[in-house]
Amino acid sequence: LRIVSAALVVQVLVTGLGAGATYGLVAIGFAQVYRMTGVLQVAHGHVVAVAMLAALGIFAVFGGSGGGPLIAVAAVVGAVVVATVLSAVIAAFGLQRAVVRRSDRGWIALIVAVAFALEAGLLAVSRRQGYAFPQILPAGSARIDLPFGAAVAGRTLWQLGIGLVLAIALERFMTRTMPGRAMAAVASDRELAHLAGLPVTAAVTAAFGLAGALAAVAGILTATGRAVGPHDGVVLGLWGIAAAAVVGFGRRTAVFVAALMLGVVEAIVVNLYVPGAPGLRLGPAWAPALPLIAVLLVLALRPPARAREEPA
Amino acid sequence: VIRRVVAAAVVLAAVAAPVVLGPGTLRGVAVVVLLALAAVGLAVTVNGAGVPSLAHGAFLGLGMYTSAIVQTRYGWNPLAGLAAAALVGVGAGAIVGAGVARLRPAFAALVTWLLAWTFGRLVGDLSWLTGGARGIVLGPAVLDLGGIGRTVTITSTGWWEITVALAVLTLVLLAAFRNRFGSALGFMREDPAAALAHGLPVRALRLRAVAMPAALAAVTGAVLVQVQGVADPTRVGAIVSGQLFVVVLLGGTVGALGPVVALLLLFAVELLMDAVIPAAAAPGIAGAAAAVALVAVFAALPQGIVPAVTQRLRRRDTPMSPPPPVAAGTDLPPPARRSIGPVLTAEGITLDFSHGRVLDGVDLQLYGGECLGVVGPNGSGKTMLLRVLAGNFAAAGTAAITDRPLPAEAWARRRIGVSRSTQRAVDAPLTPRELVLAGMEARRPRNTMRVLWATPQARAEQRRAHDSAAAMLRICGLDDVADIPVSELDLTRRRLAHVAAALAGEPAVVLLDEPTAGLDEPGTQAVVALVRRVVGLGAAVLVVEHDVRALRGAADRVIALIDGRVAVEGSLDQVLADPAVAAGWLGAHL
Repeated sequence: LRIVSAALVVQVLVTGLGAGATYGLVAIGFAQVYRMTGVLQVAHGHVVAVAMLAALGIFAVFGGSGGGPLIAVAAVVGAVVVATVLSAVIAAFGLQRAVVRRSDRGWIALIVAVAFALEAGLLAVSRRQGYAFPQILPAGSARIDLPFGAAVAGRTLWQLGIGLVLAIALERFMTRTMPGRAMAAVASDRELAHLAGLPVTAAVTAAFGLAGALAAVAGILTATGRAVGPHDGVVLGLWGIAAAAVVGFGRRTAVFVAALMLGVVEAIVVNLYVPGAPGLRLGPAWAPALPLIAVLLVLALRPPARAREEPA
Repeated sequence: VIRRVVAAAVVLAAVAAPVVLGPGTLRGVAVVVLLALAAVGLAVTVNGAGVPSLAHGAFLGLGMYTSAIVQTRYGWNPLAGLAAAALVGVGAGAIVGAGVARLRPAFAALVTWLLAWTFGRLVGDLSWLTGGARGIVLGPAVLDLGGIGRTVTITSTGWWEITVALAVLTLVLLAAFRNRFGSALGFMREDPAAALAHGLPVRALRLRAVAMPAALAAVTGAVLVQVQGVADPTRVGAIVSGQLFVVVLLGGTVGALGPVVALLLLFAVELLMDAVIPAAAAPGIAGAAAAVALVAVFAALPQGIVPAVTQRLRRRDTPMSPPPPVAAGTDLPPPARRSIGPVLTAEGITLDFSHGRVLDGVDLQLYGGECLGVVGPNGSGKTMLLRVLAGNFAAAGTAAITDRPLPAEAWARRRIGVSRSTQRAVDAPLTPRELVLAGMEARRPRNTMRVLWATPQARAEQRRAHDSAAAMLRICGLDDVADIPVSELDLTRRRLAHVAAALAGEPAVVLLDEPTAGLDEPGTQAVVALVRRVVGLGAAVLVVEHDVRALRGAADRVIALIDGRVAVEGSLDQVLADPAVAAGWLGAHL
């Protein structure tokens, strides 16, 4: 193994936490939707991808990053609006569970169909493997020195900071505001919430929209200053889904912490390799696989209570 | 007659295809047949076992790339590549099957979806192994017959013959698998929680239902790569998995007909969409539009196309009249002779939850030819006691059947003769016969290879199982409705069918949880009569019951559970007269 230095440890840790914070934003929304509807919105990653492309489209129309901060703000707002609306529209599909007799197979088929449709849309719109996404964060591409001689890109600190702020803000929103409490009530007992006169359908649609908005922010934080392909958003979505699943869609804090940890695991995988054994090397090519495989193992071998099937 | 004509036409077409079709068209038809085979396998997983697997494209790709890699990197011949793909497929299927077997369907879908995407990404990213976006191009399929100093090249006709042979083998194995495990898979799919409670080997069955189709998909992939001449990265991963999943749902059957009909429909719609939306204008949009259109069909026909059509035809042929009400059991057998020693012994059963103690040192002895009633207020631990005795919940204390300690797992207890029914009667499109056969499955040895090859022994076992199921249905008074789905039966018959599933395989110990709940007087008496009949046959029956009239008819002895402890034991009248029971169950004011 590569000799582990303090600088490498710090660098891997901070990079992983930054990426993990973006996964966390996706994961929190995904988990909230599941808790309220029982629907695993596996097309969430495609929503992220569409949001990224929407932002790229706005840059392309208005002349790229040369347009100044106003264009950057427009791109972010545009991406968030597109993802929010798209998610809310998908909510209409998710809510059709009654139509398909509340069957798991029914909503899975519908969500898979949504993923197909979005996949096709992505293929139709993106004619290239990758697009340069302008850097919209101040000092996003700058090298930031950390203790022990480590250094990360400015974007990483932005990811971590914005991720944490939004996660805390969401927590406060869910626990201290009426809409947030309504969502929590629906998640706790949908029928009881309905009997209590809460607008269940609106709350569910809002949760889908909120998940979309968070995912769009995560997508932009990931894409900024990089070349992004049509499937990068899908991969980000998969990470979020994995983080939520590994803790059984538990409390928001647990979901976010799981996402941070997954980010760190990914950073470790990317930065380690076995010299002299090219067939066994770890590295960026394995990045999408190994931590996801770890998540799959956790779910398969020690599934959390919500995921397990219990006898009557 | 129609089936034979269709089968003859298919055989004729298979034989004539290499003569009539050119090599290119023959390859195209082979690809469709192979994809249909993959879908037929997936139907067992999804429609049979109820596991919504979205990873079938990954299994297909695994076979494809395994075969291509061992041929191009290690110089193996194509048939060895096929064998390697099958082995890898079985291994991967077993690992995934073991993983998803314990998950709820939604999570099984999630895990397999993640798996499919991960596999697709790996194929793209590990280009040093997989060739990346280019894939792996194969040369001519040459077999080196070293022993006789000759080489043989397998042409497109040869691969067509291999495809046909694979299809025949698949259909034969599928028929044997469905014949033996179909009922158990159905119970598990329709009501997994009840199937687990009944001690069905749910995980083992799911593992088989995932692993075997995965192996088939891998072999299919290995043939597919030879037919196409290239391991194509676009033919693996999530999208192909999703398409196969949609095809299987649309078909709606566990057999081959549904997936084949749906696949042909999918191709037809895709061709139509391609004609309407040119690929140059929006690549990929036609395929996705087709999938969405087909899923809209699914939303209209949630049970699938083939079941929807057959149901409609059946209804038109035989308008169903409701069966007459169940007669109260009047022909009660003479009182049973109680066994000398206890069949089931439990000592010090204690169960703690985070909110407190649920069972507190419960001791009980249950004799053969005896019915022991358990009464108590809600929350006193009656159902939990049954769960613990059936092995559905682990608790402190010891339990033994005729002095042999009980194994820990529910399926193992069911196998040695401890059976349980749940409070909730199964309400599913399964017939009483299927429920009884499913219950019987828990008592039978599971030699899958013997079943698949339909050996004489396996066929004899199957005949005995059917005879035994028919006898059990007669005992339970269900022989006249044996083949009507329980969801279409009255509550009494539904309850009787549910109890019959627990009685299947003649268990030594039967644990019944409120078998008369919700029944009227004749229904209650029918269940009581059944319990007495079973007791008369020598079984040890423990029945949790709130209905005092039912207990008076069924129970020889009664224990009262109050706050997880046995408060009193004796005859029903003694128990009812006990002050502790009056205070704890009936209410002190009574």
